Amino acid sequence: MTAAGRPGCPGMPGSLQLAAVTDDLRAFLASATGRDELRHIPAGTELFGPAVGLDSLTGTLLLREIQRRYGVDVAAEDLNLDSLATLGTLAAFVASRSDPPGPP
Amino acid sequence: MRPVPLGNPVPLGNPVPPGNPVPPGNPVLPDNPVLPDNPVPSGRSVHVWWFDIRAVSPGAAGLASLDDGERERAAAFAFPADRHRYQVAHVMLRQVLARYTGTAAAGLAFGREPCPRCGGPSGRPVLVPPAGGVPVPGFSLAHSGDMVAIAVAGLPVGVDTEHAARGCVCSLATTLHPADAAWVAGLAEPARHEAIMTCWVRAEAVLKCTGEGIGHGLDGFEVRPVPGGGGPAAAAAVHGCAVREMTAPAGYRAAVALAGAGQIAVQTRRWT
Repeated sequence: MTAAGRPGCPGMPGSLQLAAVTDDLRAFLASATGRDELRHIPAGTELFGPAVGLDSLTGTLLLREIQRRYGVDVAAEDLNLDSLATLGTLAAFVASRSDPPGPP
Repeated sequence: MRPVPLGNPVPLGNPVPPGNPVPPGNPVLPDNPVLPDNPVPSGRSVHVWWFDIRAVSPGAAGLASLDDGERERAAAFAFPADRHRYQVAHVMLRQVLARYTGTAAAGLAFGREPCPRCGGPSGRPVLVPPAGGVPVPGFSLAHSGDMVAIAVAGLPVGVDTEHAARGCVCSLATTLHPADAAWVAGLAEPARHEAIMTCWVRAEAVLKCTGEGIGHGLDGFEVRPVPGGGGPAAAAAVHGCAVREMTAPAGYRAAVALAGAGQIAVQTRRWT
C-alpha cells in the first residue's frame, strides 16, 4: 500500500488520492488473481461485468480489502451499488468516502 | 497462463495428460459430434462434468451454437483468456445439456427464474423446456482458473469450484454465518485458510442451488462440515438443500448442493 492510499492522508489533493486508490485496487486485483495484466486495466473497465471476468470470490475479497484498507464498506454505504460499475467509479467512491471529514 | 498440474484422482470430462498442459486451440470437439443419449440422473444423483479450458477449443460449430446474448457477453471481455474460458464453458454447457435433452445444442433456450429472495430477475438459470414435453434437467455451471464444472441433476442443483492458489482469504471469514466464522477463527493456519475456502464453496453451491446467488450474502445459514456427523449440511436440508464437497482436479476444491434433504451421490462423467 502506498502512502497516498492511506485514509485521511493530510494534504493529499483529491485527484492524486484518486489515482493512488485506483492503482491500489489494480495492484490488489493482480495479486489476488495472479493475473499481472490487471495492473494495467483502464479506469473505465467494468469490474463486475464480463470485461475482466472477476469471479464472485475475488469480487468479495476486493470489497473486504477496501473495507480493511480504507474503512469504506461499499456494499453498505452505496445502496444502489452504482460505484461498482467500473474500476474508476469504485476508486472514486472509495476516495470520496475515505477522505477525512471536513472542518465543521 | 499458469500451468496447473492435473494429478486428478477422478476421471475428468476430457483427457488431459498430467503435467502436460494442452494449449488452447487444440480441438477436442468434432464439428458434428454424434452424442449418445444420457438419461437425466434420478433421485439424489448428480452428474458432474469437468473440462480443462486449455484442452478444449469451442470450434466453429460450438461458437455457432451460442445465442445472441452469449455472443455479446463473450465479445465484451477485455482479455482473450477470459473470452476463451467463457466460450468453452457455455459451448460445453450446451453440448452437455444437449445430451440429456436430445436437442441440438443450438436449439437450447435458457431463461432465469426470479430470485426466490427478492423476486428480482437474477435467479437460477434454467432450460426452457423444448417442444415435445422432454423433461429438462436442473444444471449449474462454475468456473475458476482453468477448470469448468457442469452439474446436471433431476432436481435444482448448484455447483461451485475455486482454484486453491489464492492469497490470504481471511477477510472472507466475516462474510460467513457467525457460527461458521467462530469455527474458522478457532483454527490455526493453514487449516484456517482451508476451512474458509471449504465454507465458501459449500455456501456458494447452496446459493446457486436455491437461485439466490451470493448477492444477498452468505451468512444466512451454517454450512461448515463437522467431522463424523458430516455437519449440519450433510444430509439434512440447509437452506433447503443438501450440500457436500466433492473430488476436484488437483489444485481446486468443489462442492455441490441439491434441493431437498438426503445424501448426494456424485458421478463424475467423462466426455466421449
